[in-house]
Amino acid sequence: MAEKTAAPASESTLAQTFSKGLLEENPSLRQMLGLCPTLAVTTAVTNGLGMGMATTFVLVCSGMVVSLLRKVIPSSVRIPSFITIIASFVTLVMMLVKAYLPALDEALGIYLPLIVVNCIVLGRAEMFASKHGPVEAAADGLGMGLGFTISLTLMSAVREILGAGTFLGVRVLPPFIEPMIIMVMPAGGFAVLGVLIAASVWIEEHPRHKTRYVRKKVGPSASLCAACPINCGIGDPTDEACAKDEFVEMLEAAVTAARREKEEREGDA
Amino acid sequence: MAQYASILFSMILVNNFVLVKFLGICPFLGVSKKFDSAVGMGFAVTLVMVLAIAVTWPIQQLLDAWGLEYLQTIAFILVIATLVQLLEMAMKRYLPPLHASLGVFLPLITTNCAVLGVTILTIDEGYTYPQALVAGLGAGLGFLLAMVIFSGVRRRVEEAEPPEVFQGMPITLISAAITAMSFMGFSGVIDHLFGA
Amino acid sequence: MSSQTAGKGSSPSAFETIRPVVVLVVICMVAGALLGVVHSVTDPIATANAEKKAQETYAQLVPQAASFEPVDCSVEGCTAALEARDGSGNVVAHVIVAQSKGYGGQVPIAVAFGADGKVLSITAMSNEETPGLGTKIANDSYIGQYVGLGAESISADDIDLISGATISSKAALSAFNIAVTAYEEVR
Repeated sequence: MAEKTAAPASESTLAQTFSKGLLEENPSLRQMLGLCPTLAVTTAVTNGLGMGMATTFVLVCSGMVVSLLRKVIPSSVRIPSFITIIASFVTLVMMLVKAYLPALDEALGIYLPLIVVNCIVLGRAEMFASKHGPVEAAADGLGMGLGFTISLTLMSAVREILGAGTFLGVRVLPPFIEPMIIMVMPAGGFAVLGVLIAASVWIEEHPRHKTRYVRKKVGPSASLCAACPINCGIGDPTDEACAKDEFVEMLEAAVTAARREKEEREGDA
Repeated sequence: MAQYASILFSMILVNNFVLVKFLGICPFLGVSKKFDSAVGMGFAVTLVMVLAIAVTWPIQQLLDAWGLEYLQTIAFILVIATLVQLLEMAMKRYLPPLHASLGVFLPLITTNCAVLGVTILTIDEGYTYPQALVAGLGAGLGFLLAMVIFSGVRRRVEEAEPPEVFQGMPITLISAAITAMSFMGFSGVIDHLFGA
Repeated sequence: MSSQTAGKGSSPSAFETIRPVVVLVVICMVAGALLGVVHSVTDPIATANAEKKAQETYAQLVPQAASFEPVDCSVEGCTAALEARDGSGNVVAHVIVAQSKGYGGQVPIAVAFGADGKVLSITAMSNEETPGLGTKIANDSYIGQYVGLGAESISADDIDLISGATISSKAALSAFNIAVTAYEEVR
C-alpha cells in the first residue's frame, strides 16, 4: 500500500498564502500593524482605496525583489537592505502618483512616504519574503495588501458616510440628517477602528461563526512577534506579559492535541 | 522668541503628533500601559526626533542643491535607522544608566512613523534649522504628553471591566478617541496666545 | 603548508568582511539610478499637471484673459502674482494667489482684481480644513462676500464669518488682506 508522505505542516498552497492576509491574519484588524495610515487617511473612501492600493503595490514589488535577492543579501545588513528596497518602491509610487493621480497625492500628503515605515511592509519582507520564493512572496504581499485595503476601505466608508454624508463623493445621507463631523476627525478615527475590531472579534466568537480557535484578546502574541526584529512597538519590551497570552497558549494546546490525534490515527491505521 | 514658543506649543498641543496627526500610533497603543514605559518611550522618542532633525535637515539642503529631492525618503529612513543604531551603541558604552532606562525602547523607534514624519514635516513647513529643532523638541514632548496622559487613562480602563468583545485593543482605541477629543480644544488657542 | 583546523573552516577573507557593506552600497546605487530614470520621466508630467491646474484656476477667475504673465511678488504669504492680458496684450486684471494659516494648514485663495481696483472674482483653493465645516469657505455664501470689495484690508466686522468655522473663515480673510497688499505692490 503506497503511503503518501504528508506535506510538512508549514507549507500551504499558493491560494492559502494569498487568502490568509484577508481575514485570518488581516494586518489591520488582527496583527495591529499599519495603524497610522489606517487612522489618518480613512476620511474618504477614495483615500482609503488609494492608500491601500499603493501599499499593496509596494508590498508585492518589494516582496518579490527581496525574495529574488534573499540568497545574495548577507544577514547582517538585511534590515537596511530591505529598508532601501522598500523605500525605493515607495519613492516610485510617490512619483507615479504625483504624475498621474495628483488629487490622490494631495489627499494622502505625508502618509504616502510613510508607507516605508508601515510595519506591514517591513514585517512581511522579514518574516515571509526573505524565506520564500518570489511567487509565494508576491501572493503573500497581495493577500496582506488586499486585506489592508479592505479594512481601510471599510473604515473609510463608515467615516465618510457618517462624517461627511457622502460615499465616493456622492451624497448618500438624506438631506435632513446632518453628518457627524467628529467622524472625520482624529477622535472619530480611533473610535471607528475600536468598534470595527470589536465587531470582528464578535463575529469570530459568535457560535455560528466559531472558527478553529477562539481569541479573547486581539493584539501581539508570541506566534506573530517571536523573533521579529521589526519592533513595531506594539509589544511593550519591559512587560513580560506581552510575550505570551492566552491566545498563544490555546493555539499551542490545540496544535499539540491535533498532533496527538494524528499520531493515534496513524497508529491505528 | 515668541515664534519659537509658538512653534513649540503648537507642536505639543495643537498639532500633537499622536492625537491630531496620527503619527507614532503603534508605540502609543502598545507602550502606554505602564507609566514608566510611557515616560521612557516618550523621552527616547524626543531624543531621537531632535537628533534625526539635526542630521536630516542639512542632508535635505544637500539633496536640494543637487536636485535629488526624490531621494528624500530613502536618505531619511536610512539615516534614521543608522542614527538609532549608533545612538544605542554610544549609549551603551558611555551612558550605561541612561541605556538601562531608555535603551530598550530605541529599536522600536527605527520604524516609528513619528520620527520619519517629523523630519519630513519640518522640511515641508519650510522651517529654518533652529525652528526645525524646536519643532522636533515640541513634537517629542507632545508625544510624551500624550503617552503619559494615556497611560493614566488606561490604568482606569483596566479596572473598569468593559464588555468581552471590547476587551484589549478596542476599548483602548475608544479611550484614545476620547483623549483625542480633549485635545481638540486647543486649536485656536496658540495663535492668539502668542499673537501670531 | 598551512594547516587548517578540521571542520572549522578558513578564517574570513578581507572580501567576506566587507561583503555586507558592498552589497548594501550596490543596492543603494542601483535603487538611486532606477529612481533617477523614473524621476526624469514622471517629473515633467507632474510639473505640467500643476501648471495646468493653476492655469485652469486663473482662467476661471478671468475668463476674458488670453494669457497670464507672472510678476514678482515679495509680500509674505503671496505665492503668485500674475497680470491677466487680453488678446491685444492689454492688462485687464491682476490675479494674486495668497495664503494664511488656518486650522489644518495653509488656506490659499486666488483673487482677481479688475482694472477698476475692485475684486472681480475670488476662489478658495484646495485646503486641509475640516471637511464640511472649514471647507465651507469655498461656498459662494462665504467667499462671494468678497466680490466687489475695494482693494483695501478689511476686518472681521466687515463680513460674515462662518459660525463653527471661525478659524478657517479668518484665515481666508487674512489671505485676502495679504492679496490686497500684494496687489498694491504689483498694480
